[in-house]
Order: sequence, then C-alpha cells, then structure tokens
Amino acid sequence: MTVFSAAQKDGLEQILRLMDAHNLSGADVKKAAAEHKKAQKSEGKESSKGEMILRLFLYMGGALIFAGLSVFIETIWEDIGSLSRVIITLGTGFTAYICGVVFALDKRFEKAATPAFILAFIMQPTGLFVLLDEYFPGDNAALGGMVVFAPLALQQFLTFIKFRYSSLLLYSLLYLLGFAFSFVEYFDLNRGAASLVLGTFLLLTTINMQIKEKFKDLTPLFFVIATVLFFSGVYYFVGRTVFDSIALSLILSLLGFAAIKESKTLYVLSMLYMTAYFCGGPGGGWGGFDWHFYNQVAAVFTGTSLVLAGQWLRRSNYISLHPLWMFLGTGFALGGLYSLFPAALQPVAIAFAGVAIYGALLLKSRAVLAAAVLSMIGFIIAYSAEHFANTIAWPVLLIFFGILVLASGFAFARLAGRIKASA
Amino acid sequence: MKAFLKDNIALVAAIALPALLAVVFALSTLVVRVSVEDPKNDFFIATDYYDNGSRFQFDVNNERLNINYRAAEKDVSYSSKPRLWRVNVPEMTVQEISLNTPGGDGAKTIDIPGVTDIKVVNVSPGPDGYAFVDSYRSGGNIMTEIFSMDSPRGNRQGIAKDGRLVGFKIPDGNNYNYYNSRFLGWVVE
Repeated sequence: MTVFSAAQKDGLEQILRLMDAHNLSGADVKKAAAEHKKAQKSEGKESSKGEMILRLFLYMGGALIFAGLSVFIETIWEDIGSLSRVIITLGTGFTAYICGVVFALDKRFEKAATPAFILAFIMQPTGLFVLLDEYFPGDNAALGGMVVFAPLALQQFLTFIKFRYSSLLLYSLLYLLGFAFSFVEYFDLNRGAASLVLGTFLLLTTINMQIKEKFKDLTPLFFVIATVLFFSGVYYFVGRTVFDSIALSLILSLLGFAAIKESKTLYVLSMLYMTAYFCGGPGGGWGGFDWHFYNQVAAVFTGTSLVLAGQWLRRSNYISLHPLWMFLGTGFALGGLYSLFPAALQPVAIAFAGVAIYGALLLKSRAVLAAAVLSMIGFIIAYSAEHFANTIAWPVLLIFFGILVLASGFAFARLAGRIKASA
Repeated sequence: MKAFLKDNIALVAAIALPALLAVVFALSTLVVRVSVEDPKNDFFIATDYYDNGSRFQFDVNNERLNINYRAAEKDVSYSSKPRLWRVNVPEMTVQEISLNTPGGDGAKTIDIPGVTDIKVVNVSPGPDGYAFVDSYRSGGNIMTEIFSMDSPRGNRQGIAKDGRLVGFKIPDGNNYNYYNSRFLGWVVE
C-alpha cells in the first residue's frame, strides 16, 4: 500500500489538474512517463559505459594490489620481528586512514577516499590485534576486542561526522558491534539480553533512517544485521515457550512498516521470517508440554492472523503471494478449530467452515473460499470415518459425499464467479 | 493515528492476534500456578542412560529402586556411565547421587542408603497426580531452529498436572543428556 506524504499529495493534485486541463488520460501519462524513463536510461547507459569499464579496471587493480600485499606479508611474516609486523599491518592501516582523510578534504581526490577508508577498515583492527599479540601478555580475546574496537568505532564515527560518508557510518557500526560483543563476552553478560538491546537499538535507528530517507544505501544492510540481532534476542526469551507467537506479531509489524514505507529489503526479510515461522506448522516452535493443545490453539490464532495479513497485503505494491497466505491461514485456523473440539462437538467446527465461506465472500477471496470448502469436505469425511466407518451406511455415505463434492464444486465455481465479478 | 488504524485495521488485527495468544497463555499459566497444588513427591531420574547399553541398570520392583551393575565383558562395549539424580519438590532442586563402580567380575547389586532402601513407585501419574514429561523434541519451526540455539529453554524436563508444569534443569546438562534421560520413580515417604 502506498501512503503519500503531504508534498507528494500536492504534486499528484497538480498532475491531476494538468491532466484535466489538457484532456489527458492516465494511460497517456503512463506512456509518456515510460518513454521518458526509457530515454533517460539509454542516455545514462551511454555516458556511464566508459565510466563502468574504468571502474572495473580500478577495482581489479586495487584487488590485485591488496592481494599481492597480503601474500607478501604472509610470506615474510615468520622472518620479520615484532616491530616490523606492527608497522606493516597497523602502519598500513593508519596510513590508509590518514590518506582517506586527506583525500576527503580535497575535492579533486574525493573519490579515492572511499578505497582508502576500506583498506583502513580492514588493516587497522588487524594491526591493533598484532600489536596486542606481540607486545602485551595474556590471551583474553574479549578484552583485546574491547581495546581494539572501542577506539576504532569512535575514530570512524568522528570521521563520519566530519565527512558524512555512509561507508564510515557502516564501519562505525561494525566496530561498535565488535566492541559490544567483546564487552558481553568479557563480563559474561546475558547474550540474549545483549542481542535484544543491540538489535532493538539498531532496528529503531534503521527505521528512523528509512523514515527520514537518510543514508538509504545503508538501510538494507542495517536491516539485515538489525533483524538478525533482534530476533536472536527475542527467541532467546520466547523461543520454545508458549509466548513464541509474539515473534509473529513482531514480524508482521516489520512487514507492515516495510510495505508502507516501501523498504524492499525489510519486506523480503519479513516475508522470509514469516515463511520460516510457519515452516513446521503453527506453534511448531514450542518443544513444550501438552504441545498438541498448544498447537491447536496457536493454529486458530496465527492462522486467522495470516488471513488478515494476507487481506491487508493485497494493497501492497510488492509481490506478496497473499492468496497463498490466506489459503494456508484459513486451513490452519479451521484445522485448529476442528481438532480443538471434542468429538461430540466436532459438527460445530464444520459449521465454522460455513462461516469461513461467508467470510470469503466478505473478503472477496477465492483462496479463503477454496480453503473453507476443502476444509468442510475434509471435516465431514473425517467425522463420518470416525463415527460411521464400520456401519452398513458407510458406502451410502461415500456416495453421498461424492454428490456433496460435486455440489461443492458447483457452489465454489458460482461463488468464485461472484467474487471475481464484485472484485 | 485514528485514520491510520481505521485504514489498516486488518494489519492491526493480524499483529494483535498472536500477541493476544501470548497474553492468553500467560494468564492461563498464572491461573494454573495458583489453582493447581504444588507437587509432593520427590523423584529419581537417570541421564546418559541406555536400557541395554549401560553397565548400570535401574528398575523399580517391589516398591524399591534396584541398581544393578554388570562388569565389562569381552567384546562388549558399554556407553558412558549414567548419572542418577534425585529431584526435590517443590523447589525442583536436583541432587546427584554418586554411582561408585564396584570391583570384581560378574553382576552386582548396588545399595545406596537413602536411595535403594526407601519406598519408590513407578506409576504415572504419581501419587500427587503429577506426571513426568520430557520436553525434548527435535524440529520445530525454522525461526526457532535458527534463532533459539542459545536459548536456556532449549530442552527442559518437568512434571505436569492439570496444565501446570513445574520444570527443572540438570546442571551442565546438554541435549545428549536429555535425549537419553529416563524417569525412574516417585519417592513415597
């Protein structure tokens, strides 16, 4: 679903007024926009082709130099002393950082700053670890991580404040995460709580970046790191418990935000998380006690949630496979209801399938309709097989069910046609 | 805000339902904790235990816990030594009972004061109505498998009655222990 900002709404109103004034249809505007885009694209292609080839050579050359330097260092590593080891690692890293700063200060060399900062990002921590290893006693990796990553995170963040390069913000974050995990390890803190706090902080920061449209090139990577940390924290506390469904609420919240604010990465991530949540069945993540009952109740709640989410996703601009969500959701919810009822009350669950058919008409969803009709037939067959299987009426019942299936097929076709006509 | 909620009511309901489910289970957990009485019978369990592959064998006969030992035979390999635990209710603290390997050949019966000379029954549910439940279960949804690796709730065992679960944790327990754990019997004193 697209939610327009006030400025965008003004712009659209102006376009509509111009269309009225010049007697233009929506199709005319769409065609003109497509042609304009095509022309822009081909123009850009021609001008950037040479630039792209040059960039390719630059990247390849840089990579070869870096690889050569690494191989050279590895070859002579055992033959050189401690000071030399520190100089060729930390020295290289710090020099690259200084070069990056110098390049960034001069407009003519601005483009060279980013590769220099990349080199510094790799070599500075390597050099600091070498320095610690060569000159300081002890083998506490966590303490070493704190000593190395804290000053580097500060250095990169201050440099980012000065030059506003998004890559520097990324390096600050990665160093900060390195420091945070070393801190947690050193003080033996709760890893789940640490992941939750860090993940929430990073997720909120990235959401803010997405809303304010700042450093948008970084938000995809930030969303990946943030959601992995966030869900690691969430699952540390609710994983394999009856509170597991909280994770689904959080996933759907992220999905909703991604659809409204049009963040493709977060949308894809949320879709993956949602699929992963339901792989194994509703409530399948709870390795607890009386899990069968839990799964039945979870199927009713999470299945209904899936139907509602699918209904909302129909308005999304992205591919959502919403009919699949609605089909599965209806199946889960009705299946859960049927198995929840005691044998004597199972016909009531069959009536719920009828309610779902009515719901399908309200939601104008053929997926819900198909799932409801199939569930109803399935319930009737399961119920009769359990209660009448050994009676003489069983073959008669089978014939009756055959007629019922045919009638259901006709009813489905008619109702589906009505849904299609009204949609 | 109101307009947003109205416009996206399906999404709001989709988000609220799973959260509501968690609330319902939280409330039901609280209710059963209050309404179902505490467990009264301590019990024994063995971990790292294989019925036929262990030198130590446990069984409950004539209301006594019998521990038998069979010495190593030629060409027969046994699994590692099992561990015997007494779980004290209602605190659910666990106490390891050391199993000393007797010397000599042949089969031997091991007597441990306070363990083999007290009344033990192997019935389910136990005298206080609680039944032993083992939560170990492989699989689950993929989110759980990916993100719950470090969770302290990964594998738990406990006793349950009328929906109330009272769990306990074996110190230094790993998945292997849980997979090969065996409930032995309730202490009736």
